[in-house]
Amino acid sequence: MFSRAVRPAVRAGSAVVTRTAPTNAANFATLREIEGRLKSIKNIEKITNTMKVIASTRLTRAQKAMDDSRAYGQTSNTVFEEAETKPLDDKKTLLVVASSDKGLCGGIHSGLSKATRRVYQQYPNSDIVVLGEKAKAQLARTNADALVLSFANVCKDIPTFADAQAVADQIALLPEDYSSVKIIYNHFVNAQSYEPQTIEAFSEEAITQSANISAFEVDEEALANLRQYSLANSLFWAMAEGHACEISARRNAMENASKNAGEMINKFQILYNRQRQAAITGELVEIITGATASADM
Amino acid sequence: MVAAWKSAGLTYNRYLAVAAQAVRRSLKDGPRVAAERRGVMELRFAKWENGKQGESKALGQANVEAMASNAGSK
Amino acid sequence: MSSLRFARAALRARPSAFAAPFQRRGYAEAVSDKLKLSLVLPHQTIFQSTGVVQVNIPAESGEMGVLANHVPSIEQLKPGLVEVIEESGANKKFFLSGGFAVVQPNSQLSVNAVEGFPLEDFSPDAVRSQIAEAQKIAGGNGSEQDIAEAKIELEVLETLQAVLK
Repeated sequence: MFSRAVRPAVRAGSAVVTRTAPTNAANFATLREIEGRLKSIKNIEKITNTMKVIASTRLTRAQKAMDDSRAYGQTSNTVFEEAETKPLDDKKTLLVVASSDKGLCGGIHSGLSKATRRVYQQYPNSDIVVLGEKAKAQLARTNADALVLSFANVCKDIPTFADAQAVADQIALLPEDYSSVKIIYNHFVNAQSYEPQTIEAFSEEAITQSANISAFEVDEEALANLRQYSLANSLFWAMAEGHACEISARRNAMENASKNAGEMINKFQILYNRQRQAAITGELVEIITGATASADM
Repeated sequence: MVAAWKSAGLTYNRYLAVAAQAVRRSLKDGPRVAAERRGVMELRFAKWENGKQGESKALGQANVEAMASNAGSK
Repeated sequence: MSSLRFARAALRARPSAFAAPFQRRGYAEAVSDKLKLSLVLPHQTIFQSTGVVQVNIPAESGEMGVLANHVPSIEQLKPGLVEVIEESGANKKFFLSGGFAVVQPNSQLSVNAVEGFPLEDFSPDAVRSQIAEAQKIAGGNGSEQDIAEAKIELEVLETLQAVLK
């Protein structure tokens, strides 16, 4: 009866012996390693899960702010649609990139940088203004000579109109007279996807030369103010919508990270159990081998 | 006829921001709290030249200084 | 140039009590009698393509009453009261801090402002104490910019104080 129970154990034991011949000490060390790994991954899963929940809560507010900013920006740009304003290209173009300082949001910033490089190829010799350290770092690697301004502390939370106005004021101080200002931002398609798009902020010349501007009664001085105001309005829209895309992307990235962590936890848990059983089996083999040997003696 | 704020070097956006702030501060306590948050602007910026980033400065202060130096030029 | 502006101001400066359409373009097709109003702030949409009867706005070029079929124009707004007369006859008032109003070519009015509130949201005491502060700075020895900003605040606050009475 002893021998029958022992046989499968011996078979398993010999299999273990043929494979690696680990000592019990080594078995337990490996067990501890796996335990350590499991602990780290469980911590990571807790963190990514918390970040996902935080992003979900912030997403509702960010989306509402985006909706308001869209209505605001689109209303501001209606006059340019009606006047049939077109961007000019006789002088330099200014590209403004609406990014932010924070990462862990999937391809938000790299997508913007890629889109910016593409637009830059269409308008070579453009100047670039970048909002946000992430896109700044990426663009500084490839287009450092084109950068004229960079802003930090952007879009930490929902951007304020005051932020957009302050940026517009610095852009107005740039020495160059730009015939076109293109704001590159992430457009929110749905909770799972976004894509880089451009909002045109027309120069004063482009406005006065609009095909249908004569339909409007307007004061010349008011036009200069309208130009600055519209720039701030479009910047605000781009920043608010970009912010919503970022929160949404972070939520998705953290959700994926949590899922991956969860899968790893399962794998390592199975590995841990197998290793633990192998360690016990190894011990049993030793005991039984020892017992058999002394019995034979 | 040039507006008074323009001769002092202020930009139109600055004029709007000052007016907006006065309106927010005129509110009753209830709506005022949420409104005042909209006036917050704590950005920093840096000028770039020849591929090199310059000194990082507070944006609000820099804009005020720029307006002071532009006064009377318009 | 300036004579045109005077003529415009004369055309537009009518008391808000009148709802009679003053300017009408001779379109062959039937024109809607409604004005579509979009009144938007960066953080809030007050009206979104809403059909209304009349909107009175404080333009830099003078008080304006806008109805359907008004001549298209781009107007810089003074800080002041905007009055919206709705189809129901209801009359809504908002104090706007400033921005632009554009009468589009199709009986559409777009108003962008930075801040805007109904009159009941304001505290006359807060207005009064701010005026006192601003007057001190405006008459003081501060920088040209500080004085200019104090004067902007006074313009806003005194207008607000007058409408709150």
